[in-house]
Amino acid sequence: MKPTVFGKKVIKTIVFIIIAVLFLIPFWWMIVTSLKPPQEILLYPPTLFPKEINLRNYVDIFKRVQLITFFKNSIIVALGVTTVAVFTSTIGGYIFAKFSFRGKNAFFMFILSTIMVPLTVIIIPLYMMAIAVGLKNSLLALIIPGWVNALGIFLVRNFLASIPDSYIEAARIDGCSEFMIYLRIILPLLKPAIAAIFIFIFMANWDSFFWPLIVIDDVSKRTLPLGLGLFTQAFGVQNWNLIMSATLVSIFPVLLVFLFFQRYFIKGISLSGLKQ
Amino acid sequence: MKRLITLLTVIALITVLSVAFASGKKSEEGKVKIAFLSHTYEPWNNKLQEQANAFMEANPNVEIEYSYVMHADLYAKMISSLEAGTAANVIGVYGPWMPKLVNGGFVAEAPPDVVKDIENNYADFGIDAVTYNGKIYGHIQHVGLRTTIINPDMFKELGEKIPDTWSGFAKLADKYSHLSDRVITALEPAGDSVVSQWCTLLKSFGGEILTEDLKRAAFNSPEGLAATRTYLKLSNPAFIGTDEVSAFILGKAGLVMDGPWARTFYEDSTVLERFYSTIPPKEKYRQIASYVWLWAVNTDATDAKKRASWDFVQFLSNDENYLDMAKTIGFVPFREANIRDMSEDMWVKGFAEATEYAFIYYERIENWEEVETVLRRELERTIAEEITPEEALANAETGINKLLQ
Amino acid sequence: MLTILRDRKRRFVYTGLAPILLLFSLIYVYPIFTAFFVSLHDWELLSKTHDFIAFGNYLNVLRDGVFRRSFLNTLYFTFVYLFFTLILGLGLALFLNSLKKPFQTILEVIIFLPVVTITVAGALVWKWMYNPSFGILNYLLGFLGIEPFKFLASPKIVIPSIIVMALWKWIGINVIILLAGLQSIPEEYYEAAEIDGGNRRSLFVRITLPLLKPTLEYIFVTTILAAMQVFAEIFMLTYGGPGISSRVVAFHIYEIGFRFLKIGEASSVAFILFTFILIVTAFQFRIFKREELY
Repeated sequence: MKPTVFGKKVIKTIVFIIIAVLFLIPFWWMIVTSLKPPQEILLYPPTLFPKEINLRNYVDIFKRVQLITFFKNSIIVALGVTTVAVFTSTIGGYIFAKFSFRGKNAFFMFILSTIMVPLTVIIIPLYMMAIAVGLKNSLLALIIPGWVNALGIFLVRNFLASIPDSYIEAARIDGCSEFMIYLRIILPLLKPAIAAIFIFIFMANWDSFFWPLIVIDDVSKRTLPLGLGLFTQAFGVQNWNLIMSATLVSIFPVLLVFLFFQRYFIKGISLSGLKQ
Repeated sequence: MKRLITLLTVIALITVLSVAFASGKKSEEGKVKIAFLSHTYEPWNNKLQEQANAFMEANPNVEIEYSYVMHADLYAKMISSLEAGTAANVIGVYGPWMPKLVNGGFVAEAPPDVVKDIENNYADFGIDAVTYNGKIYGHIQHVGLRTTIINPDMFKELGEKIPDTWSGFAKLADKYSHLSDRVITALEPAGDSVVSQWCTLLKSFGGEILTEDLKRAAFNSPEGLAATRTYLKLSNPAFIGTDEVSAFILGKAGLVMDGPWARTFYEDSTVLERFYSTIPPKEKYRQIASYVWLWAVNTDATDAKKRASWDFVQFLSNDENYLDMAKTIGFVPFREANIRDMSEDMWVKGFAEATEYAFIYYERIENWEEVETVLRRELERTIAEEITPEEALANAETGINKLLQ
Repeated sequence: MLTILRDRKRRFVYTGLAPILLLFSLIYVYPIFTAFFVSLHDWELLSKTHDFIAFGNYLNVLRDGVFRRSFLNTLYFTFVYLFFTLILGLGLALFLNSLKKPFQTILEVIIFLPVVTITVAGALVWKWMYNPSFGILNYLLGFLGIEPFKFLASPKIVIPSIIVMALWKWIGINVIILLAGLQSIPEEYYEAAEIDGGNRRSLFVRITLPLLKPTLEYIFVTTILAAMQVFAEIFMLTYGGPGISSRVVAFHIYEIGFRFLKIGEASSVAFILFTFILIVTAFQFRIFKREELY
């Protein structure tokens, strides 16, 4: 007996709901826990909804954990990396796409190969270098290593490969300087690629944990993942409501940005995957 | 759009550069600036900041910048900042780390006035704790000992007398192991104090950690095995990753081992009606593993900074301030004056009595941290029921002997 | 005139490329050589002398039971995670592809939501859900009649528990990439095959899979590279425990290099990992290249 169209729709809807629920459960539990008072956390079986909504956690958490400072640091670092990285990626990608010079392919392979270099291999020397130049415990040490990005260069190059050269040549003959061509012609063309690169470099940097963990000492210089993670190690079980409110506050802004700009996020990720 | 990008880029670069400059320390004219580092423990951090502020008021030419890191990260931060030349001036150092710092010339010997204060006012145990290679290197920040804390109501409910030996508790744990909503004892199954709690049992059973010449492990012995087997009965793998102390606070455990600094956790409990600290149970001996945290002063600084650092350390450690700290946070008193003043405090009483049985559980070797890590790992594995206690002790012995050669 | 243009172009290339190549060398090349150099010495961060011991560190590390366990754990994590991310990712992508517009976007967003939360946050909530005494997962499983698990407290199922959390967190990326790959297959291919008389399964095997190959290879390579270096999840969920059951190579490097400050030994661990990754990647390319000949 062939499944009816209606039957298929029902199955699809059920699967849809199951998948959505499975992915959303942790968020819901985060919210629920953050609204509970300490005594209710320790009840077993756990209550699925808070008996009394307790918003005090959100006030308390700002007093106990310097979330604002961590946010500020994360934004400084992420912006400091991403703006420069976009710049180097677009210039680099443009050069590899539209210019020819000796050793071009070798250089390009060289840059591409750095994608394969694991962080764990270079992290100790980078640490030694940071100490040697006095940048240990400084936000600059978190920013500088991100200034070049092989994937970004690769994306831009691919993007520009399909743009005809004639356009550019015309501008050259008209007397435009190379830099002006880059600024006035290439950059506007690259808008979607720039959005994609901006998003994935920003996100990767925002989430960075291992490197900041070993470089940053002062509490006042911690980035958000570091501050959130290290602080919550200090709290006992009865404080999970506080931990969850801190967690929610930490992810909320980016979540909001994502929900508004999700089209760009998703487009960007799919661009990076299509290695045609 | 292009203008927006350029604008954003410029803003970002300005931010970056200003951050870079801000990272450098600006010192005000005429003030001696000292950096002060301790580990994280919220009520204590607040109290220290209070005392630092008081010191700055009394000494307006000194500025103290206080920061703190998690216990687990303090060692690495301290060492790497010493290497980079960016270490704090006054550092809270954990006893086992001192040999490395002293031998490397990183910490300063105490000046004569500080030495006099220590010799006049510390109990012998305390003076010994701050002496390395015959010289005194700092003030005690606090003495750590985890003694047993009892919930008498649980034993009353079960109609049992509270045992006075570790084996006695183990027998009760066996007898009531079928109960699903409570445990007789809750020793730590995984975490920072597994090794110290286990050492308490080891010494109590008559075992030793290392040989006298500090060259080989000595705990893989009948006493060690007995102590480990008992530890397995007294700890519960279900508490791994959560918090066995919380179980006690909720009235679900009869015994836990904890330190005097935890008083607020227990006093805040809405469930626990009665509890008290007491001297540890005996097996062959009555022993309590303990340790000290010191305030040490960095040698890599100007004389003015070093003098200010010692003044600050002296200030924190004087009778009045230390008493204040002991009373609010719950530290064990070890200055003669404090011991007298605190004998009335019910919480502190058990700890004060337990100091009589205290022994420093870490050996004075430079790589004690690694030795303790090996012990902890193997103990955690056997508590998690992954390996037998015999295997755990054997593995630990092999690993530690390698480290000690 | 042409020479002026050529000179300008050359200048642009040099001034543009020079800082970029400089930064790449500084951040990737120089450190690799330094790491290798350090790994050949008995090098501790605070000590003044570094003895050259050639491959002594490597031998010690390979003989160390803790390292071997970390390596095995890492392999276990990586390949099981890889398997599930491919299967589940493809399944989710296919399902999404079959949905119509508003629903497709909604589910896309939901699946991608964990990706934009910071890893530390995800780890914290899962740690709480996995809590053996108060966690909600055991409670919910109880409704299905399943016995409670110890999850992160059990040496046996701690790694699978971490894999589940990692899948929740990261599968969104692969799903989006696969979806884009699926959507780039032109309808005509399917129509032509249907005329040839194919049912759904053969359509999938003969058209979808082969055309998705580049995407699948990309996911293969990037997932292995990332999974073999997993760190934040382990650090927050279990700190390598219980005992060493969830200890991974990156954590081992962290403990040896940054807690015990033995950077010589830690560098050798990193290089062993690096070598392994290179071998696996080269092996993958060999296999994929051969198949593309068809």
